[in-house]
Amino acid sequence: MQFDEGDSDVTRPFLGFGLGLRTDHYSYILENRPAVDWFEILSENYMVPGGKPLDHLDRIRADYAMVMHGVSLSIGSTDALNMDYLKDLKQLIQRVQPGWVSDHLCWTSVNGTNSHDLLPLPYNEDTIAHVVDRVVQVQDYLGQRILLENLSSYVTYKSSEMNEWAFFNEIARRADCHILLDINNIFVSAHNHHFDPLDYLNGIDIDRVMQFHLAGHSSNGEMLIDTHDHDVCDPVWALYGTALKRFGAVSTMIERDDNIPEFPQLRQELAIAEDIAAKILPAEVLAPKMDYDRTA
Amino acid sequence: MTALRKLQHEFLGYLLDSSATGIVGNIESSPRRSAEQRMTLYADAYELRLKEALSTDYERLHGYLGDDLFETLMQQYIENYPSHHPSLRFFGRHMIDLVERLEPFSHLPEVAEITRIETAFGNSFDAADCQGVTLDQLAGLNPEAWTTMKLCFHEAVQRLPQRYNSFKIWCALSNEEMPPQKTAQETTWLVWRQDLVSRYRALSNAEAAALDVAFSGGTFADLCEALLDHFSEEETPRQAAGYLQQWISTQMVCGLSTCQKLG
Ligand SMILES: [Fe+2]
Repeated sequence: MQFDEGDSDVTRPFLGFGLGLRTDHYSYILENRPAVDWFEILSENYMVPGGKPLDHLDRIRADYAMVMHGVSLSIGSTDALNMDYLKDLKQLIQRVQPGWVSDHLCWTSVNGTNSHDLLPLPYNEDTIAHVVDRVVQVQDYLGQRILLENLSSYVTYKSSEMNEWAFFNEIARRADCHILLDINNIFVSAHNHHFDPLDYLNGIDIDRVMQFHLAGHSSNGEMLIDTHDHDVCDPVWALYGTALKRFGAVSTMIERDDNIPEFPQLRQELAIAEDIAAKILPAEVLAPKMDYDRTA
Repeated sequence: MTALRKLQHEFLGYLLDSSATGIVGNIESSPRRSAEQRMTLYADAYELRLKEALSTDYERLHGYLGDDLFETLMQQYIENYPSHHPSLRFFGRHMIDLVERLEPFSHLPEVAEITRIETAFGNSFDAADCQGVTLDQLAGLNPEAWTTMKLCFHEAVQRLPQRYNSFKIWCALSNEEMPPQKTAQETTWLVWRQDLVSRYRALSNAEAAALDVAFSGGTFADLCEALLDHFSEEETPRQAAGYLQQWISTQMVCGLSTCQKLG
């Protein structure tokens, strides 16, 4: 596969290198104020009335940039949009003032019942039209563009008529939303569905991508599973380097949700990402900059 | 119904009940992995995720019931109470309904009591914040205002009337000690939140009665009247004022409504 290097003139906000904010690390962060450019929070964890979660959030936000990442928008569901959820999300956005807000290109609920999982959509024209319409409504309501993220998936639907990246990119273009590219999920899905991850990277518009996720996965023998319980593996680091060559400086973070190491160890893993980026991109593009118009 | 809606119905139907295999016909099989095997992965992840949420919310209940009975409980819960809230935080909120309704748990009254304790701590943890009433504000009230005064409590404040020593059992489990045998022991316990930390204590019968009156919208005068069953006419006002001061100084009270504005 031939690799397309990107056009390095793209200007996008760049937050630098971040980590997912996890409860295990609250006290370390508050006591040590470690050097990290930003944190990504899981929106639903803070969509609660009050108490410690919001208190910790406010205290950490006072010192760090943040972005918000949700799992329950259910943008691909055929239920009506959950306006209670969107109201709570908007309220949290007002509190946190995040760099941006993301969720997944998936569905999580139908008939008012939640699977609490990120379930894949069939890749066809009907789904594109359905999702685009809903992204436009969400962006109108929130008054800002959202980022959608690619999943790890384990099934292919017979009703799919195109590959995932064509589907993903078309939705981003037509809905005028941004993309959160999960490098590990591309790797996992490429293995599970037998495609070349470079085809995926080349199929995504450079200027749509605002953020990268990195994470570890596990294997059940034949399939790779997106478990976020291991370090980032070498082939995913290599794919990250390739992605940086195409997309340029993109805010990057590591997701860790299980088997969570001490904060300093996770911070060291993030330094690997910083080192890879420093070898590929000039220092001036790796200086964080946050000036852009978020309005949809 | 659109094709997408039908597919989503079938997919979720399979997660809720793996004998509903309508979804399988929509999925490509690959040489090494059949459609069924691929769907099993989602069904297993669904169950695992929900069990994780219940195990986190009901850790002491798990300790009390042991692994096997707690497994039965989780399976019954997942079957009977699918999640209707976007956040897993609220998935387990109907547990008390299950343990009071379904066998074998409905025959074990202490199980419902332990469940209420864990639910109360869960509620208290992230209940809405409020600007508490201060003792200075109380001191600033006109003497006449006291009689008509009503209290509004912080959402974390919860009363737990119990018939057994369930709180002792809960405490032992929290300290990873062997829990005591179940014995009849009527006590009302109080759970509240102070400086963002959930706390608990046993209430005397008199204080429990006073709180009952205050919670049901009674005035301070009503509260004093209820205390006449417990104290002499002479003692009552001082006792009532003492309770009020304690509730306020432990951040239980969020509002005082009187006929007059607070000074
Ligand atoms: Fe991700």
